[in-house]
Amino acid sequence: MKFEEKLSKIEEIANLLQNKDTDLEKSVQLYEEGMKLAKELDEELGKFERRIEIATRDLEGGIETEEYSN
Amino acid sequence: MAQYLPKMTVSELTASLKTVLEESFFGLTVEGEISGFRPAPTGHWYFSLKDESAVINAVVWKSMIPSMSIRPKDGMKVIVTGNINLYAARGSYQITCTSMRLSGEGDILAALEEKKRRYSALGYFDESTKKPIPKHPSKVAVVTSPTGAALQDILQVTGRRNSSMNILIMPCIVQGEEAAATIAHRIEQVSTYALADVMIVGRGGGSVEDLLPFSDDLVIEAIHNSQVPVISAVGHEIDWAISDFVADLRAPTPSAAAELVCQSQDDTLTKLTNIVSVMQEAVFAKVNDARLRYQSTGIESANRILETKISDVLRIKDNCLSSINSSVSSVLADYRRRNEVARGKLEALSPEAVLSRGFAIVTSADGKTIRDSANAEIGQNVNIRLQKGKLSAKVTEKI
Repeated sequence: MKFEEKLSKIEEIANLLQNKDTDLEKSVQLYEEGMKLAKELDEELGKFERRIEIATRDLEGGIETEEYSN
Repeated sequence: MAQYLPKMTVSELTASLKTVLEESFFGLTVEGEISGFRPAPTGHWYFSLKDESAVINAVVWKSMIPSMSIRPKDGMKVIVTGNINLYAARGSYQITCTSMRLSGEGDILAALEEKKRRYSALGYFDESTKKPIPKHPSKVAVVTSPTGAALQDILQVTGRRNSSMNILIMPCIVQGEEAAATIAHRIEQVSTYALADVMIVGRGGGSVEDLLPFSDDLVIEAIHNSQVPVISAVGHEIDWAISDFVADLRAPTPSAAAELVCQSQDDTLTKLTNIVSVMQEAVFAKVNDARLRYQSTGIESANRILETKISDVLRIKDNCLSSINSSVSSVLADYRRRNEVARGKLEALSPEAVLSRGFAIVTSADGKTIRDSANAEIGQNVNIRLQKGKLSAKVTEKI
């Protein structure tokens, strides 16, 4: 699932959890699914170490880059 | 014999002239050619404005220099705004400039407006053609000058916000004749090779002429055809270029563009934190509802159900939340407090605690708790759970 899809899914789960017709059994299942998604989303949000690159040369079918330093 | 006014001193005459001149000639807009431009050691700019048959001295005070959009050069045709000042000690007058722009600017702006209308008619600015800016970009390409202030602003904003976003700098020339082609080429590369999730195309402030490459057909077409969403960020708030209209999003400045791409990430984190809170609230509300409902119908069933469910909830929370970063820590702290409370309640309600007081749990062969004698049949086999051990029994009578 893509990030955006997970985000939509977790919103849907939160809505279902708030629905008073959802019983406890189902709620715990939903909660588990939701919390797993929350964990994944959170990890995705923080997983990238910021990298700054600069394009140095045009290549056939792409570009060459190198680490940027001020 | 001619009539003369009463005698006055040079100072008195000059003071009168000063009053008349300065009160009559202010808020002027004057067009002319710069000549004799000489920046003084004091920091002020002195020059003359002339045309075919007249010349007037002009000055830009040091304090006003930062707000001039161009640096004068002899021979440059400019339009200045300002006021006339008379300098009594030298008997001279001059125009004190408050702004200065190239005199061709009006023509340039008119041509830009015309071009803008043309592209608008072609549907290049239609909202329906705008691509959404990704809410969670992991890589942003920045098409700008590698030595310009815009790049530094973008790096500073994204760095300050502790963004984990990767940045790809696509260096290009941002003013002059070659600029448009290099900007367009960079945009095309980002799009063709899918080098980023979103790109910022822009530069810092400058004169209308300086910003022209961002209104060039090559750049307009490149932005229009880009598969990667484009944020246009040209100059200051008041500046514009046609790239602003054809882009998927216009940012007033390069810094603002950087804020925009980080903002969505911050928003996502806030949203996620809120959703986690909502889910926790909701699941605890369910547990509480169940507790209230079951407590009235039989303590042993409440125990069994609540024990399983609460421990499920706590286990899920422990498994999933322990690694969520500090942004969710307030939620987590709150959760822990509730966890303690829940555990306390759970212990009071645990089957062991109840069974130890001499109660027993009666279940049918399929494991369902029998809470009501109406749910048991004469002759049915039931299981009885005691604090220690279990019994199997047969219902012989309903009392």
